[in-house]
Amino acid sequence: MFLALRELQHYRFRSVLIGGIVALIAFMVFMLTGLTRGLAQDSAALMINTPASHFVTTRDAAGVFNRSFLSPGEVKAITAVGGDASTPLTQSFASFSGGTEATQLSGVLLGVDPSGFMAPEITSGQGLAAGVSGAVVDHSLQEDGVKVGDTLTLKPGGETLKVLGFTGAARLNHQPVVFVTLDRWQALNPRTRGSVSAVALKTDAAVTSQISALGGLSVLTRAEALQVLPGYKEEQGSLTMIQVFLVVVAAFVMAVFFYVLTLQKTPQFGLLKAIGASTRTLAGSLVAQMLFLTVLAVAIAALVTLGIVTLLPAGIPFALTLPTLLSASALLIVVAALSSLLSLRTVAKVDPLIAIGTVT
Amino acid sequence: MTLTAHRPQTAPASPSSSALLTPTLVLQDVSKTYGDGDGTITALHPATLVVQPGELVAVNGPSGSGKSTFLSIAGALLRPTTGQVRIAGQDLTALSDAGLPAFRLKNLGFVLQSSNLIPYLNVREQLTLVPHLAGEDGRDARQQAEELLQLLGLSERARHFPDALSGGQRQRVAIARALMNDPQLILADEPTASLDSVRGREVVELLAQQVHAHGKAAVMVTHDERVLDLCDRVVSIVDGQLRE
Ligand SMILES: Nc1ncnc2c1ncn2[C@@H]1O[C@H](COP(=O)(O)OP(=O)(O)OP(=O)(O)O)[C@@H](O)[C@H]1O
Ligand SMILES: [Mg+2]
Repeated sequence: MFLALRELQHYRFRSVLIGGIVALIAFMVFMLTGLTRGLAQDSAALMINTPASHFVTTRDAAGVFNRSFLSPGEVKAITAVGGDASTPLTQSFASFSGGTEATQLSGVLLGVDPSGFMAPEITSGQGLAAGVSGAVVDHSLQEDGVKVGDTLTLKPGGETLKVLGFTGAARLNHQPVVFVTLDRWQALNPRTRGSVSAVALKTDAAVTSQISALGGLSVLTRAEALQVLPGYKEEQGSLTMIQVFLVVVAAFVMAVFFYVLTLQKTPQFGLLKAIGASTRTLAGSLVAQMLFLTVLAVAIAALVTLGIVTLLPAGIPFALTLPTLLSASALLIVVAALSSLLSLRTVAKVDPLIAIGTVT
Repeated sequence: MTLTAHRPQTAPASPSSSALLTPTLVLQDVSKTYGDGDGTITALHPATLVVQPGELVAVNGPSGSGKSTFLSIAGALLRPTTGQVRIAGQDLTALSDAGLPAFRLKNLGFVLQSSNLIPYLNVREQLTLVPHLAGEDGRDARQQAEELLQLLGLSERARHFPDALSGGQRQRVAIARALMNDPQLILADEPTASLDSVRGREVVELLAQQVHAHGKAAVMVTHDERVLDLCDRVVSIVDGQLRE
């Protein structure tokens, strides 16, 4: 530890450079993690935060809501098994005008049972109740000037929905969700003839296998349903790929940096070994150095990230929780520790004889 | 001199009277061959050397004659192909590979030709590094470092880094470091190679003085004819053959 810190201190500029690179990479990993999570929330907050554990659709739709049409008979059969732990929901896309601006807005019109567990939890205004014709909308519509009591006019039919209240974290397909009762939804979408998109379940495997046994259905877990959500997997996949690459690059950069430094220090290691330093002491010193630099750099990057987040414009979807930040930091530190293995091999192989000059 | 407190029975005045004591270094018929099969090189033919406490032995000889090989064996850095090495009564063949570094750390001091000091440690830390590696930091170690620096006239330089020192000062620091663990045996490989004759002589005088005053033994490989008069004995190696 003494050797490790003295060296970092003596070659201050070099230490700052290496630490700086590690910090920049960590910063990029954090920002990308935040963006990935942010986009996920923007795309499918409804599905991420839902209390449902499974979704049932028709088999041919394989979990994609807007391809699924469950007949009233099928819904009855499913809810007969699921009981209170099942509730139908049905989805269509809607475009409407409302709010302060004259621009056209769009959203996902979602019909739910106001007494079921998929009913929206309101953050302001009033919730859905049986028989109401109004809507509870996602709070992201507030940015478009929509307020409680406003009237949304659906295009092109001209039907109107009164905004009863707002709910949080209700987005699907990158659009705000407009919650209405099932009856209201059916009235607005007469072409569906009483069919719904899916039945949400809040239950365990025993019940779901019973429901699968009904036939003609596809039962997906919440996570699976998220993956088949149009565009979700592709978006998250490419961002995750970039993150993985960044971490791999970070590992390589650190490994090579320390490897080159270690090669340069071979005579010194020979001398220290001749004096009587054990390989274990020298290896410990090297790992300590690496960890010290990385922990410091990652901590600085984390603080900078937290600072930058408060400055981000509101429109950018960004979501980084402390647990996510901490686990990303831990990953980077583990990667740094692993990347010192390359150098450790070199340290172990240094022959103390080079100090005396019998071998070079 | 407070350093003598570490070893109460002080050294003999002359090497001849020391025959009664256990020798510090015994090399018994040690030889070293490199390679195996047809391409073997005998770097050192069987050689026997006994060094008593208080003796400074110079080893000279032409380049490639086997001096470094000899010193490496005496310094527990290289195991001989045949023969036996005893340092301070300890048979080195009885020690495991893992035990050798710890043995060197406790019993040996090295003064080498170049790349002798750690570039990022200041002079005081070069010395305290030795007890640190042995896990014995503390006030005793710091005090001993101060005394050695004082003794070798380096007190003013305690906070300097090696790149700010002259060649002679660097070798003096190296000698001070070699004395930090109060070793029985000091091994020096061309300690005067990078110095002019005056500085070189000063360095060897310092070494000789430490050896004689504290009953240590030292083996010094040198090409430098001008310092041989400061040594108690001169052995030469020619083509791997040791001669007194
Ligand atoms: N690792 C090795 N493998 C094979 N041969 C070696 C090895 N080390 C040394 N030798 C050979 O052993 C002989 C003695 O080498 P050594 O380094 O001991 O000489 P030296 O007297 O120290 O020379 P110099 O004065 O140039 O330092 C040389 O012929 C050298 O080539
Ligand atoms: Mg040599």
